[in-house]
Amino acid sequence: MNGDSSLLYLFTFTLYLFIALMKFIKKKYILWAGLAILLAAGGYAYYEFMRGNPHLKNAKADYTFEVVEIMNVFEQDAALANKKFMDKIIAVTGKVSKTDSNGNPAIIFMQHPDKMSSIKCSMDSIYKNDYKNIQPGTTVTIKGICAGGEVLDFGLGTDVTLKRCAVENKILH
Amino acid sequence: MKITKTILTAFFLIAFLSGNVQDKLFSKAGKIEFIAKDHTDLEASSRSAVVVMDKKTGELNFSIMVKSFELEKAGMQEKFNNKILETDKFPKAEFKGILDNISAVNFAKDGEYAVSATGKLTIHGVIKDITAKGKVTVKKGVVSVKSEFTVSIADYGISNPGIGDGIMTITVDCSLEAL
Repeated sequence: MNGDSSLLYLFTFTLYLFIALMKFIKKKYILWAGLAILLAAGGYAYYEFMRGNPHLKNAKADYTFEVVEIMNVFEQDAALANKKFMDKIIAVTGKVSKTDSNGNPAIIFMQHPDKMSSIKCSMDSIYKNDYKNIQPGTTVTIKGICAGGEVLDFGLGTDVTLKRCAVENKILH
Repeated sequence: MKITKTILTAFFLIAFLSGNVQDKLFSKAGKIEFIAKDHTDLEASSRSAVVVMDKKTGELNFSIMVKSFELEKAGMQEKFNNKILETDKFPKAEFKGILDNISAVNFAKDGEYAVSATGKLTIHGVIKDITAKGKVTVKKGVVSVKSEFTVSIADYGISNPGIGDGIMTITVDCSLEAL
């Protein structure tokens, strides 16, 4: 049984209960008021359950950075940077170093020019047409929700992850 | 004589270090899913795992920022972050272990090789020993790792009653490249 049908069963059961109660209770207006409240509550619960995640194409970024700038911030103090930027919408401009469309979501990497450090942009597939033709070497501004950054072992540099990303603009070189 | 000694030492040091690096494979886009099937159908997925595997020693490490997991519905995403995995308190999940039978994998020959990994899995700030089965695939020089295993959420201090029978399936899928 999935969540949708659970809600539907609960709602239908409560509706039947109200109809049954109406046969016994004289003051019908109380029942009608109750039914209205039930409908409103059910509608709200259903809306909450079905509420999708935000799409960021038209959202305003909380912070904007160049690739190297944001990496420096996380390299200096990842814990502090996570505290400040986690869950915020961040727009990053830089050169695409690699795209990985082998899985869902697609990942676009923007790498530090001199290090293994990278910004990993987990793309929102609703905007596939905007990013599907982006090639390494293209300079782009991508914005997404900051899902955290960490200094990695094995000399892999510092990674910052953005999720539900949308391409804000791109410059072809 | 002294100069020759220094050059030789430097040569051996470089050879040793580069040899170690060449044995390592990595991915920064490993896919990890947390799945709990019940009336809430929790399915969280991320392609942001950092994976490092040593072909020689079998050492295997995964790490992931838990906030990078994405769920289809906003309400479930909030529940996942705030109530289930408490991502603000425990931002990172990781596995540090070893592939027990790395010698069974012939990295020079295409094929699928059954493997098992033993190590410490950290979720929700709790570290537990686990053993998981999986497979290493070598295809045209590309090495990929897949695994699916289950954990009891109670073992990791997750007490939210909204997760079905308390069993969470974790899947791992990544293609690796030379470090």
